[in-house]
Amino acid sequence: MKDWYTYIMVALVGNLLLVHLNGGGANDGVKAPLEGGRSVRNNPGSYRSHYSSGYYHIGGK
Amino acid sequence: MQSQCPSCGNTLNYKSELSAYVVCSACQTLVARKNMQFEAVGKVAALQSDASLIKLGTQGTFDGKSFEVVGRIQMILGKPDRPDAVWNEWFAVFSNGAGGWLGEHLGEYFVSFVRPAEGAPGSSQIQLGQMLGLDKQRAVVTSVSRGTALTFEGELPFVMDTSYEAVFADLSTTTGVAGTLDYSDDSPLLFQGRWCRFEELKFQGLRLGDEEGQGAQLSAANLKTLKCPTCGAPHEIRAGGLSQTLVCQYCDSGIDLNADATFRDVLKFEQAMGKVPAKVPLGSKGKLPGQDKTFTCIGFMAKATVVDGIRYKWGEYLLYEPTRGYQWLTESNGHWSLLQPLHKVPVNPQGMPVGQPTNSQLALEGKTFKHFQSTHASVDYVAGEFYWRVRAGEGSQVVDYVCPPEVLSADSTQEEINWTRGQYVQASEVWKAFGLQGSPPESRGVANNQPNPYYAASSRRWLIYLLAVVAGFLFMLFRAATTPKLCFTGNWDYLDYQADRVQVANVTVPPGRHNLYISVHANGLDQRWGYFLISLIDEKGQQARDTAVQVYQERGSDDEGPWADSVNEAGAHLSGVQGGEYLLRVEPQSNVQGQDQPEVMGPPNPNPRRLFSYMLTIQPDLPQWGSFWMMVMLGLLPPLYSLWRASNFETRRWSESDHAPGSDE
Repeated sequence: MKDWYTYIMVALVGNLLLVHLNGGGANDGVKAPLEGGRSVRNNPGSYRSHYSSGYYHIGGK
Repeated sequence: MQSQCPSCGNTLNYKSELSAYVVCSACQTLVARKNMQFEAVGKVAALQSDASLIKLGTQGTFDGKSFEVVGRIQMILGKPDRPDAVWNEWFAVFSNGAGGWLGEHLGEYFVSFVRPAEGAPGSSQIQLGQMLGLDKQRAVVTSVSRGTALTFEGELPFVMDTSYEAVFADLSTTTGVAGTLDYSDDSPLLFQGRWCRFEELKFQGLRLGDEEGQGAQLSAANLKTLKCPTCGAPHEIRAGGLSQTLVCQYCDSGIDLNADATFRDVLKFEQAMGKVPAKVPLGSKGKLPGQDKTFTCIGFMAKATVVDGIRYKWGEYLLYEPTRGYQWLTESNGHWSLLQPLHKVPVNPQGMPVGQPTNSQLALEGKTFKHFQSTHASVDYVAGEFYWRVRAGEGSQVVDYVCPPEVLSADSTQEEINWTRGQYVQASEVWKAFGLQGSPPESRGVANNQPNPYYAASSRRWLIYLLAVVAGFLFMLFRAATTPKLCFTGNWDYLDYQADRVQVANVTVPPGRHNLYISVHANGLDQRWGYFLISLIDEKGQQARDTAVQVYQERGSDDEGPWADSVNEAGAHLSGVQGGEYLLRVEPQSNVQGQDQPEVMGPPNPNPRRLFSYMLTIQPDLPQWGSFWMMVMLGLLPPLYSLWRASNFETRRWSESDHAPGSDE
């Protein structure tokens, strides 16, 4: 009798392999198109990150 | 060898040198042979007709040796006028010249040979459950009964006095070797052998069913049908010669089948609890899983036991087949089991054969059977044919041991301990085997030997889970061992005054799609935090991947004393990054404190102070342990659930036993 659990585990193992073979996995970044067509290389200070920026102060006790 | 009958002159044939007696077939005179002298001893009684398939001249094979049946002693248990049971002991001559005995009882066969009964206790000392030596093994006395030799036929090495009851004790071992101690003479005789199946003996020349039975009396052997003397209902006699009692299912009359028709007793059978319908009708024929022949249901008993004030009921169906003897089909709350006689005794935890059944677990053929229940079972209702003289209200001590789907049951009375071995049978298989209409009633609760339907699924799922986890773990180890080298390393200082702290650099990502781990390690943080906005820019595709990493170091003191907290290294993942050339942009930020120069006040400091330094690395294809642990955690749930269901099933099973939580045992 076919057991659905077998399929679940095959899928989980397959996902594990796929993640590693396809560059998948955790992602902490944001992908976005460059704006304005300006060269960041020549003017790096002009770039505005798409990541939520700003000072992030970690308070102490 | 031949001689003449001293009484009628009929020719007497001797087929064996061992034969000391022969019964003249013409005048029923018992003739004794002493050397070459022949002396008439007396007349023998007429044979009780029975349903035996064996007759004089029947041939067979046992342990590779052929034999021929040349004589018979017909035995009865109980009083001669109302025997409780009738059986035959056939004397056989083997191809090696030895004489042996073929015991025939209730359709089963016991082949034995006379052995010295060394050390056997006396007839008054032998007890049920006693341990004796037999063929260098320990044997248990499983039956102590009193029987009488009724009559003789053919050639015999010895005869018994027919005028008194002798004690017979059956012995059983753990290996199937069995024996009978015969106390009919001054010194006990030991008949040692084993039980055999019908086909094992390869009989030839059997008595056919349509042959005339012997003896003048009408008896159940010649009965095919019988009208109930009370209500006139017709009954088919299916185990003629073996059945002692027929209880009419219509009017509850109990009919003694073994008596002459003229003097047949008819008793009103007092049913303890009123009529109980049999789920398998009497007369039904079927072949259940585990049976190799078609059996007929010839009798039905409704039984009950009382435990803690609760009455538990079940049904027992007596099945019969001429070459297989009797089997029992039991039913309780919709759960069915098929039980067959067991001619071995199990062993106790000390490795000794079991005498009187106890509450300990047993072992049989390598399987451990746990004690389930010890009860006193009484008969509530009977209908149909039975091979013993059924009595109203009769009871026995029953002890059950289980190793699902099997059960061992010891049924004990004053005279015997009967072991049976059973197998759970699905109700649907019972219905199918006997061709019953409709569907079986739904079962309730969990039977003592019901196979756990969740064990197989649980075991299978745990196996799959472990295989997947091991395979996944090995893959992760391989991945960790073969992680590519860093595709970028950069070292920079964070100064107290710097007009533009943004750094840019070229990064080459290997071909293919990759998960990149961008790590920042800071040195020299002191009461500072560092926040790094990091961008990986694809100049050709005009796409950017932005992320951020934060490090810090803080210290202080409070009521509990000084404290410190720091994270000097942190990282971020970027998934699905295509291979190629990228521009890395790093924009660090930190807090201003103390002597720090503001960033944009006054002219640049020609000698800026380094506040801290940091190293940024980019590692492709770091092992993604998150996906592995997700597999481990998600995959664990179904096997855990299956294990819980299997465990819950066992809890429900044992809640009905003597060992339920909260019980006295």
